[in-house]
Amino acid sequence: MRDLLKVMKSLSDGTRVRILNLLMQRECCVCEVMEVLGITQSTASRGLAALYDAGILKRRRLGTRVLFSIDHEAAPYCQALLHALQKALERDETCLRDRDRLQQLSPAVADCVRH
Amino acid sequence: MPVTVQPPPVVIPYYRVEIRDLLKAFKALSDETRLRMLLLLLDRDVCICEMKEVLPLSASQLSRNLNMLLDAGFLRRWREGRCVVYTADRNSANPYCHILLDMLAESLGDSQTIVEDKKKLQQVLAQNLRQG
Repeated sequence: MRDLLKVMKSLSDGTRVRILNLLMQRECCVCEVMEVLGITQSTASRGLAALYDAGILKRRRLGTRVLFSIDHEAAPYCQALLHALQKALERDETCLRDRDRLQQLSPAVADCVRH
Repeated sequence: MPVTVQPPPVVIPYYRVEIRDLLKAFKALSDETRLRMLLLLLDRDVCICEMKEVLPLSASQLSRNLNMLLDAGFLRRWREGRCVVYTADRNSANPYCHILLDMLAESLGDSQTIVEDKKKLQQVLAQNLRQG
């Protein structure tokens, strides 16, 4: 029950839900999340860390970047929650805009040249 | 010929309401007491005086937590004489509630706390506290 509570807590936040919306499209690094959502590095890192700690995300290192993605092998309740979330996000205006911005992200940002 | 300009129709952005509702549902489920309450209410209807015997909380704490679950769309409630009775609402207006309720039943149904709560509820129900 404790694990499930942790997942619920990690999802009870608008910014983290927007982060998940991006990761449902593709793997992202902290800089991409910051850039697309227009949030500070600490907010992005904290959000990603909370989702990672709850067991929803996995991460891997690629050179100097840390890439986060949805862990599709997470507990079954995670899958059910993400499914519900995905359905709700599909038509959400903010999330649609975020998805567009992610697609249009300049390669310079994607390659983390700024950092 | 006069041109009549129609005012634009008022569009309620229902998708916004949906995501807000989902966040509200997640918040309502982010608490152990509320999860335990909801799991008890999945099987049957329970009145506050019965719930009080299973979960040692004050009447105001109980109604505050039940109200959060009710507000998030997980519960239905009605009055039976002097008792207020609650139960899980599988036909909730919030379409994600039933996905979440099924998920909870599946992942927490066998957990020790929940099994003990249910056993305790059976004992309490046998005492017939409800004042119909």
